[in-house]
Amino acid sequence: MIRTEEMLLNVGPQHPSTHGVFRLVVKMDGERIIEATPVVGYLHRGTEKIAEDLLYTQIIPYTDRMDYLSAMTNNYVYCHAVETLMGLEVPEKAEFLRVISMELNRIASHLVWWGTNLLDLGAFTPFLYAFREREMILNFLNELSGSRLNYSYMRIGGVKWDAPPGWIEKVQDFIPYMRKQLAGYHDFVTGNEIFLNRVQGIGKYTAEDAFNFSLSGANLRCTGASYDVRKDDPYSIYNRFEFKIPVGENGDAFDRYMVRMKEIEESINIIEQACEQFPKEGSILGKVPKVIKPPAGETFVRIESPRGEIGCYIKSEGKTKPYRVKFRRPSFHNLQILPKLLVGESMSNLVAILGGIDIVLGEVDG
Amino acid sequence: MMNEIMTSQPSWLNVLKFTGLGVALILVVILFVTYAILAERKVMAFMQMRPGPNRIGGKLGILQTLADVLKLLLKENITPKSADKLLFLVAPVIAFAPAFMVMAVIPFSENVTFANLNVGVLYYVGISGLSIIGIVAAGWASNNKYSLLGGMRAAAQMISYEIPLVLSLLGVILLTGSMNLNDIIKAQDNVWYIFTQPIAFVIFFIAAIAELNRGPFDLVEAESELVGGFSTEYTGFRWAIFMLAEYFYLFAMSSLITVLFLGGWQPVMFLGFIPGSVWFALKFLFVVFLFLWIRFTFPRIRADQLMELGWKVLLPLALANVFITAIIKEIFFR
Amino acid sequence: MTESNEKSLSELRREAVQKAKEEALRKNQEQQSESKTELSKEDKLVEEKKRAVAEAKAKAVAEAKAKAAAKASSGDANSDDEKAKAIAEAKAKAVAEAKAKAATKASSGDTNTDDEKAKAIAAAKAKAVAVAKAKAEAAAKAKEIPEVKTEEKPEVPSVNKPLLDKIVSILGKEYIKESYINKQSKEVPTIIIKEDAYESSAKLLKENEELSFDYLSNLHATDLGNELEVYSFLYSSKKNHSVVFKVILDRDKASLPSLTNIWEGANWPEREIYDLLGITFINHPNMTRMFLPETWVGYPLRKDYEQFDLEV
Repeated sequence: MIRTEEMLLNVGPQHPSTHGVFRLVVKMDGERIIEATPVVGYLHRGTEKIAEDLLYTQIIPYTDRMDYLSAMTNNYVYCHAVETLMGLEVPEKAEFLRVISMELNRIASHLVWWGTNLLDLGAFTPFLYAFREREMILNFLNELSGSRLNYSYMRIGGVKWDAPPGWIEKVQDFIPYMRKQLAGYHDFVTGNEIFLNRVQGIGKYTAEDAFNFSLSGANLRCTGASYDVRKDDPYSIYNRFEFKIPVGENGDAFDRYMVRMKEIEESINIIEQACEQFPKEGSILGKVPKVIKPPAGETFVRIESPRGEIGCYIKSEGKTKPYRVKFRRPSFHNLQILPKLLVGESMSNLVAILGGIDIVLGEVDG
Repeated sequence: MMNEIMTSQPSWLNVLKFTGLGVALILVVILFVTYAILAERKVMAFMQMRPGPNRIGGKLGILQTLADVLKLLLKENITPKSADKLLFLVAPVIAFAPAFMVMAVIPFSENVTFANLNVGVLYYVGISGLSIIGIVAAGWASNNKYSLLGGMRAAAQMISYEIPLVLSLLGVILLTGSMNLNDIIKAQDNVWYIFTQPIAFVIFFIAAIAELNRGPFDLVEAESELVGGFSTEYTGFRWAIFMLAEYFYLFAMSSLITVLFLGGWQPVMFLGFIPGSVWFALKFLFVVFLFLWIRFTFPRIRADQLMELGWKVLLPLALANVFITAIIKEIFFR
Repeated sequence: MTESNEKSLSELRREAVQKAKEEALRKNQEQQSESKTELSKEDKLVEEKKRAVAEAKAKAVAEAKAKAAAKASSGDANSDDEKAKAIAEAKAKAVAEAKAKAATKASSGDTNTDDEKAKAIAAAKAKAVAVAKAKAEAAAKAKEIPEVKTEEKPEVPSVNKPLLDKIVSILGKEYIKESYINKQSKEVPTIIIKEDAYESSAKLLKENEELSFDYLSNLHATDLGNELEVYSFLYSSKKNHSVVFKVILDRDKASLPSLTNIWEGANWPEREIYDLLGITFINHPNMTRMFLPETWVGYPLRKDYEQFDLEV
């Protein structure tokens, strides 16, 4: 028997596949991982502490910077929490705009994931295809909010801008195009033998494990558990639309891939319905007091972000500044299962598994 | 021409001639490398629906690579503190030298062959196997864990793919009855070996990609896993020499495939009025394009799957191919 | 209501103290020719002042509470408005008292007139602010009353009421400090458990067939001023219901049994809580800081946190 020596390898914080400043201390025997310890906190900005010294409206831009790939859902969860706390009514048109922008953002976010995950697996070209479509979505959101990434589009009680003239029609034109491209993605990547070999059966876990580890989003649904806050605890106007919750079977990296790809489809369906039902008239901001001062109390709301269940807890003391704000950040919770998945895997699988979890470090570190 | 020089008496004039020819060849190959890199980037850009390099040297970016080389030359050469200094310095040379040496045997046209060896194929395979020593040495000398993993992967990959590569060649050699590359080309006067030896071609092509460490078999570098593999710690021109070696091999391997399977400088059908060197260039460029095309289409294969493919699929197939070829030759072409 | 008053009071107090402190520090720098012993004396003085303020605060709070309780028991229809006013009054009074005390302390310890003046100014300022605040709050309360009334009139029991009752009966009433439906949070049943029953109740919540809360959605803690509150939001994928599960801890000896044996997902959130609020979780597999470096001093999300590095 050859005696081998364990090797301690620092993956990150500067590593191409950690998607930000994430560090993984890996104990390896050859190329086999014995133990992996995630180290986070390189991007910790203390959003929750900062929020304690800000007015309610001033916190919105900070939420953009957590999950910077889907700032709309972050905006929404915060605004929704304040609205729930105050018992505010949001006008219908604003809700439509919110849902359309959130779903567009979901597609954009999944496209980034699709591209970067394949980049991790060594395929460079899909990345640029994904970014071509994402660019169009970002242009839509830019027209809507005036920003490409950190939108700060939502306001407490509604949204900031109405859709510019012709915007809804443009989005409607985009829908068939996106469907066509999505079919192309499947042709290009999904059937590829090398790709299948890389992801099938990798990073497997059961639904029980997934619930136990507080996973959410595609990481949970890949196991067959059908839990989506949009369906199970409907918020906004999601109960008006027909859409399915895609689930996987095996809970491996391939199922996570398929769930996300199908989620893009469902998001397209939601956008299609929302565009059809979009009210022409109506205000975009509800009756909101000039100074936002929620009554004393606390609230916790959850919504479905592209990465999973994002939640916002606000404790108010009846002042203009919140007493405590806490975000349940899905990436943070999703990442917890990583050390368990990595034991016994190789370096190549590490990248595939980490990419499949789909983390955004801004969100992990808060 | 070459044979005359080879058999002539040693003299200072001959030394000069050899040197001059060598320099000429290296200049040709470097010119190729310069534009192969540009072509790679342009082809990649075309496949990815973007313009690619278009600033330096007009819209086509003709001087882009020159600018890159200049940049690499001006960069600081950093040697890691805990590196094995001598080995770190020598490794790029070890990796590069064989890449140039193998070109001696390749017949670029009817007249231009630098060394018409009777064991041309064997020479190529033997010498090209040497450069792995440079890569492993680089991985080891860097004293970086990623480099070490990259070097080890390179060694494992080389061993797994050298064998099917050589075995697939045996089919061609059996049909020709010679290991001289010129003879092999002449034997393809009527039918190219890609048609009589399709299995050998496929095996050879796959093994060649793996030998070249290009995508989807670029595990040695695997920038998303091993950062940069064996070349993680290399900077400036030392790194450029590794890249140069890689593209030299691309040149050599494409030439070899052209010679072995596509008939070398043999013209197609009745188009004999076009000179052989042009035919060679066209076929050669097609092979290079194939390499690029595959690189940008497939994800990277996993290390263990790579080994599996090499040992469990390609090796038995190559053996079967040799066996069948031998039987067919024995029965029909006796 | 009393809680929030207490909060604003303490904030004001802190402001005032801060100002006084700064003033004193400035003085110190000016009188550098004086000996070191005097400096330490002054430090002591500041400390004494602080203690006095704290005493006054506690007293004021008690007073306000008592008053509010008395008013509440009288059960007047207009009691809310009055209560608010009374509280505001009590508050203002307390501020004045505290200030006065601090001022006397200061004057008795040192004969520095400037210091006294500063104190007086600070006190006056604080008082003014307090009065204004109290007024505003009273006004806000008055405004709120009609809303509250319209809400209360129909008095529809929440849809989650049966669930709350069920949870209470399963967990056992004696272990529960408080239980209510949080109308501001989508009517989620909320229970505050007693500290000793924390782990066993969590286990019960997960393992009981009728509840089966298998998903720990959120786990975080809040500094309530005098106490720490650990808040967990649980969800059951099988029954599709959720509950908020809280426990209130003593601030000085904040430790809890870890929930990692029940929900593995509690691992990192507990580390986060430890990192930012300094609650130690017993039997946690890796009780280290999550985000901040191990050398960090203090727990940033505590309300009395002061940055160790003054340059930042």
